[in-house]
Amino acid sequence: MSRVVVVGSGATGVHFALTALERGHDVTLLDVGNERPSPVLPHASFDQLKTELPDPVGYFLGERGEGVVYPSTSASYYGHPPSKQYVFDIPRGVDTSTTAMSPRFSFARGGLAEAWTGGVYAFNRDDLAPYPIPYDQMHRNYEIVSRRIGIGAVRDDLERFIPFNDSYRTPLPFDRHSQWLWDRYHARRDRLQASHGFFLGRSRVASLSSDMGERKGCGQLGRCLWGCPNESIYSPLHTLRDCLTHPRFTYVPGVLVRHFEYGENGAVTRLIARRMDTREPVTFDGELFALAAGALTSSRIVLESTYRHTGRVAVLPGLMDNLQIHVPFLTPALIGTKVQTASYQFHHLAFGVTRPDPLDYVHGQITTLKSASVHPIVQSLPLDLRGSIGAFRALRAGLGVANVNLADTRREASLLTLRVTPGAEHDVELVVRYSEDAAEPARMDSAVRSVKKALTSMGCFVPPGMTRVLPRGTSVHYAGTMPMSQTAGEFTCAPDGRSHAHDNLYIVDGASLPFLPAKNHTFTLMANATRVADGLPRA
Amino acid sequence: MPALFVTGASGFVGRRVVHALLQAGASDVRLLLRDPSAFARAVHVPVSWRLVRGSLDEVASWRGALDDVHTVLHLASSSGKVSRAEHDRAIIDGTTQLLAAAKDANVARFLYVSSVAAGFADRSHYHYANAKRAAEARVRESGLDVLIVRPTMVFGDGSPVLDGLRRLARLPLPIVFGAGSALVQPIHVDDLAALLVAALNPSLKWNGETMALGGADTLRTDALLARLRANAASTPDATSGATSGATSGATSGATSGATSGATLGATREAAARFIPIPVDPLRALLALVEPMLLSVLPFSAGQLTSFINASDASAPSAPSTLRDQLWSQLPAPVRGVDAMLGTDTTVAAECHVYARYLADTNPTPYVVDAYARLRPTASRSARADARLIERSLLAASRWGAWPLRVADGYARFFLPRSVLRRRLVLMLAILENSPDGERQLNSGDEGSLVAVGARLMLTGVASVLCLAIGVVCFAPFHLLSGGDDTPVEAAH
Repeated sequence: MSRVVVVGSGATGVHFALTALERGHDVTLLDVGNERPSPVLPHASFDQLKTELPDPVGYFLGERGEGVVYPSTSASYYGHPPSKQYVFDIPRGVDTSTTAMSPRFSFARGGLAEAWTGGVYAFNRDDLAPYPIPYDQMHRNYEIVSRRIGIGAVRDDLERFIPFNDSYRTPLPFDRHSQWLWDRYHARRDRLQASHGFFLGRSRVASLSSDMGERKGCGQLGRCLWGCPNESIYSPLHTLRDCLTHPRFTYVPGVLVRHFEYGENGAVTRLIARRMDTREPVTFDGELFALAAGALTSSRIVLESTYRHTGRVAVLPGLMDNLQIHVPFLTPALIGTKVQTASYQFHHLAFGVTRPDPLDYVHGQITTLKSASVHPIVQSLPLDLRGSIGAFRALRAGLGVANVNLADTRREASLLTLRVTPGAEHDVELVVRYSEDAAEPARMDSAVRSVKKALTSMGCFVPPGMTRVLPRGTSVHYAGTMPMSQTAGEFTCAPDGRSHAHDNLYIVDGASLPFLPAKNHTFTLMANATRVADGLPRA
Repeated sequence: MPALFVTGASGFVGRRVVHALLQAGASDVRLLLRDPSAFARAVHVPVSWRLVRGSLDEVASWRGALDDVHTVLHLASSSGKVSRAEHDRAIIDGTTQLLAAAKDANVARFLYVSSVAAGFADRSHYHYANAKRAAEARVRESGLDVLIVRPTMVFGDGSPVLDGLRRLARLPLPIVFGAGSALVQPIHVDDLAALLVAALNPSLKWNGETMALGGADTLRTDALLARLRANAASTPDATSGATSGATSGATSGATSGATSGATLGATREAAARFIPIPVDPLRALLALVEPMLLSVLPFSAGQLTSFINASDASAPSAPSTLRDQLWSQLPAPVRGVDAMLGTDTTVAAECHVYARYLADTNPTPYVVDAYARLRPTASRSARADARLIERSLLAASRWGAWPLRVADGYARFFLPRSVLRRRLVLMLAILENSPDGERQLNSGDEGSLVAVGARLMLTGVASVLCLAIGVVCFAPFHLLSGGDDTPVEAAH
């Protein structure tokens, strides 16, 4: 079997590693690996934390008050709490400059999925049409991943867009508001589907309703955003744990891979990394190499490797990210009912809006308000704070947000490249340039209009002027810079994930996706990583 | 951390530096002390540390303690009311001896803690300042890898400077020496200690820099004295909520203009209340009688001199990348005046009014402390805070919950990123995450749609009325204010 070296411990890296181990390969996984702090008071609910922690203000707002959301021009409804700062900390010397995009990076153990909300949506045949791989191949791997991570889903109206499979488990129970929306949808579904192309179903979520292995079922503590102490919400750390039980697995944290060296025939000879503690360089060799550091960082590694080998600064076009729009709404029928703060905090419902072109399918999730950080919302209401608090208290039980996602395609003007400063200590900087699609505003308006009309039909009130388009990069669904393709380009990869330029290098993460449907792509990333590992040559 | 040799460990700053070194887990530390046994009784140091008996004027007895030392941290000094000869001996000669011994022992680095006074433009009769300046020159010429730190006024429990200022502030007449306009930028002794320990990191390049270190707030001398007078005058118990908020707001209304983050403009009201005592004639007189009567004088001519020099950390050269690096390594931001003078009663009063306004509750000491710690202080450009409209909003907000609502309503629409809004949002964030406030903020109204709707209407009507009153009251101030409404991020 081959010696495989994987870069990155996020969603793709760990599933790739696990499948490779199951096929008999030796796997070494290199990681920066910022660690998650241990959960505080694991049995306390969201409210109980505030009364039982010795310093709840320090926990929720941070030692320096960095968790306080102050009035600013670009306020969004949720950011990340201080307890998740480790997910987004960037090592020194990893510099990026950006245009028209605010990307996030993670160097945490488990990657960006340490801060996700768990939505897992299988792509259907339409979504996968632009991909050079057969649908059944991907479908098979969705099932494998689903058994590993535990997904709650039911057969419902979204099934035609999001294929079902038998591995799915019982989903979490609805909260009152989500139940109400579900019932109203079913009372009017024919009209909603016919007039607005609007389909509602349950979110497919990688969250356990009952115990599985070491992970416990959801305890309805309401602490999801701040870190689930029960491990009900899936994290790549759980799969990393599984990898660690294999004797042929070596986990190497505390190293930052910068680039690789390759021979004249393109074969990668070794990875050049830097130890985080001593800053000393360290190298890793192997037979096969896999980049799973996330689309942006894997691309950076390839760009830097090309630069160091040839002196040329290459360009990787085709960077994609889903546009996300928040549409807050109010359900008057729920006003005055009891607010459930001790409840699963994330979305229970998902929706789809059909479009003439199936590739334009609009995907979304509905999150009803349960436990929340109150001050960001209250300060944005159009009254003095006392009035806003009163309004918020009155309306709270009926508040929700519809999160609308749009698909994205590869375009030449959205690209990654490098800026080099020869002689400087950190001489290479990643340049991220995103360019909006001219047709997108119209697509967005049309999608949002359909969603608003559907919500209104269901009996909700959508306040005008509060819809917010999030900055590009907030979705963290970056993809497309080293896409899989039948025809060999300079930086593309084959359908089996093997780089066309370096035949022992595999692109395992989002960089390899040639098209980004509106559905959250994490599930597809994990399934694809498993598929690629399955296809590794047996030496 | 490499082997360290420290002088002055038993002094005011030295003791806190020792504390910071203990927290940082420094293992090879040698302290030069006149009375090591007394020190050991007071402070438990690890067995790997060495307490070296000796003083700077007889180096021969302890020079062996410098073997294998990498860095010398020189804090020992004379201070306060001693003669010129004593200052010269302790500061200039002491430093010279220490430098020579350090060079002989092949010490690599030398961190000298001087004083902002060394950089004063007017140092006449200020022997301490002149001695520090001369000692700095010796340090620079030594050929070692040096860093010279000039702290501004060092505050904290037991601070001699602060005690002196408090005595001045407690006089029946509000006097200040000089015009009172000289800028000060006090730094808390623990922040200074943390910064010094951070500077010892061998990977930081010193480049022979002379670096002034101050706290988060820069303010006029008279504003500082006004704060101290207000602290001394107000009752310590501020738990009676809005009423005492209103009264202490009224009495310290003018002086607490300075508490809103130490603004330059707002302190003009404070300055107007102080009686300036001309410094030059007084200084000349003191200088004459000092040699004979120093022990009975309340202060020396030199100490007077500090009132008329700028004591902020803007000289010798801002900006300093080394200073920025050190600041970034602190676990919490450098303290400002509010944090250093104890939870100022005006801050506590503000906290009470805000808590009653937002959640009909009195804040617990935990909440008051969190608020005082995190409260937005002066932005680096004090200009925004000094705008008339900002000061008017803050002034009105001290009068009680209803005036606060009017100011808040106006600010919500016309100045959403003002200091008042930022403070209210912070207070709200603290309340929702603390045991007393969370009940109100983490639940919802229950009842029939009609009942809830009716309450909502009443609240909405009240808000609209307050906004209308706010427009009438504040629009004139806003129009009269200069500057623009672009947000200035506070120094967090």
